[in-house]
Amino acid sequence: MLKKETVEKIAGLAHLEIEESKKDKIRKDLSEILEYVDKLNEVDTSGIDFKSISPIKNRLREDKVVDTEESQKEKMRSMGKNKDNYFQIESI
Amino acid sequence: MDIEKLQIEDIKSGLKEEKFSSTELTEEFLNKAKEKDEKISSLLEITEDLALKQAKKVDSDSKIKDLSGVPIIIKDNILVEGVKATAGSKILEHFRAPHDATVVEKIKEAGAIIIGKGNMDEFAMGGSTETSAFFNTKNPVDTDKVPGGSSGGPAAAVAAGIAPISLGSDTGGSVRQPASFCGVVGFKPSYGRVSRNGLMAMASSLDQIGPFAKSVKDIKTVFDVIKGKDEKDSTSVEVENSYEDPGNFKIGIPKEYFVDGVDEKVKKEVRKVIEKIENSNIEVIDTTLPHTEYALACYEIVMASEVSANMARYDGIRYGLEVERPEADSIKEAYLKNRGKFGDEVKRRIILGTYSLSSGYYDDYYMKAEKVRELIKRDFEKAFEEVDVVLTPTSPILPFDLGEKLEDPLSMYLADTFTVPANLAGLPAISIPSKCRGLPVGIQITGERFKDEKLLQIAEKIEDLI
Repeated sequence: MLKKETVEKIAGLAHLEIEESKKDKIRKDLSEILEYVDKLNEVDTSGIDFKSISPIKNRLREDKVVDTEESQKEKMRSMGKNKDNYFQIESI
Repeated sequence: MDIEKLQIEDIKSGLKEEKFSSTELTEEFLNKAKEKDEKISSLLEITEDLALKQAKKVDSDSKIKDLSGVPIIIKDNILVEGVKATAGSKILEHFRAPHDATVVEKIKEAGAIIIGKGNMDEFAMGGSTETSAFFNTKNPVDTDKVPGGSSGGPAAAVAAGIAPISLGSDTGGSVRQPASFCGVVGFKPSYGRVSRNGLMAMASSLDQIGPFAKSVKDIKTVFDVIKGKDEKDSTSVEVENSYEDPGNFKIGIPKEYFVDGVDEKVKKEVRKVIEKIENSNIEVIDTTLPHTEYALACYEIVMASEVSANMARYDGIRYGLEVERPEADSIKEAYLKNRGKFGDEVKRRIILGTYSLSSGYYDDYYMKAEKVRELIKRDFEKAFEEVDVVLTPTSPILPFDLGEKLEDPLSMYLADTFTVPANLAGLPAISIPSKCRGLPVGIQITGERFKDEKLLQIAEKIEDLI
């Protein structure tokens, strides 16, 4: 079973807060899932070189402006508080 | 006129012969949606104004296009400009889409009428639509049962006749499994065939948009409209295929999909379909996909890892109107409060993914899973040396009761066992109903990567035999 501290540490890394009352349930669920995925260790993958898996190539394009200022303004309107096309947030 | 049974061709010929106008038909479908959805709750929003505006446009256009006047439901994680896109989550409760997804642009251009946004599991994480932060959707075949998920809303809406077609997204079976549960056709195209621009990312190496319909023919029409390379999705590709006659084709039956734990009715129905295929002189042979047993474990790690990265963007500031701003002394505290709006399933997957990517565990989990994924891919490549498609059940189980599995995540995940391999290997796969009495059973047919058109041709032939 995963330790309570481990769950807290991982949740912290992901910027998540877990309610105290839910911690045991999430520990139990995650432990069960991790136990299940442990079956991957039964598979012999010694012949697989990670670097040779599906050769991926970058696909590049020109970095050019396609939206007009007008459409930018319109889009910002649906995106919360903003000013001069910047997001406005409370000072923290 | 019974609009519930209408398919794309019926609507187009009705418009051509002036049996009805697009506006008249749209009004009827909107009324139908309001009436029917009281019972099944498949829609998060009915987009009446947008639908009527589009219908007017169709009526003023002299040309009948591919989807002219055809009502469609869009899953709520796909953007429709100006319409709310919550993805079933509280964190996006007030988010309005600033632009159309590429698929939405395309279906609008083809004349389709957007009737509403389909309910779904929160951020497409779930297999029953019960993790939606708003409400449960019920299976139109039996309202005590779940419609499947995560695209439960779009599947149920088509099954209930609210619209002849809909769009969902499929990361580990989220189109095919609800199609199976609701008794409709659901298709996940090859990875790369349909642009995901405007689809909220869940697990980027697995996600794909796919259509629901009542027939393979309608699936083809929708697929033809939405497919193709898109500048805005660098993983999309152009493939020049046509719908040729598949000629003599061979169907493979992988023995790993008929094991203990598969519901007896499911096995019986699939065997019945196999028998019908054999009786029509199509060659059916046994085949093997030896790593099937490990597909779900592999999927859980790959998916959760990608989820944890993709969900990082939801900090409560960038997307959606900030209606309630939390009291916070630091940015970290503000994030924690905002991200507290995620439901339990989303949190569980973010934590699992963060864990499997964290230092010290990365090799054991993520790298191991990616290697197993390669073996799963190779299984299919080997099988396709001998057969054209493989035929299996879509889901090992029948639609279950609402609430039955919600507290037991592992048993919910296990229901995806037969659908995740196609996502891991990037293959096209379709679920078609076996047309049995009682709760529906789906037949899944999986084809070679990028040969979506050939798969659909074969699926149509099998559909005719059922």
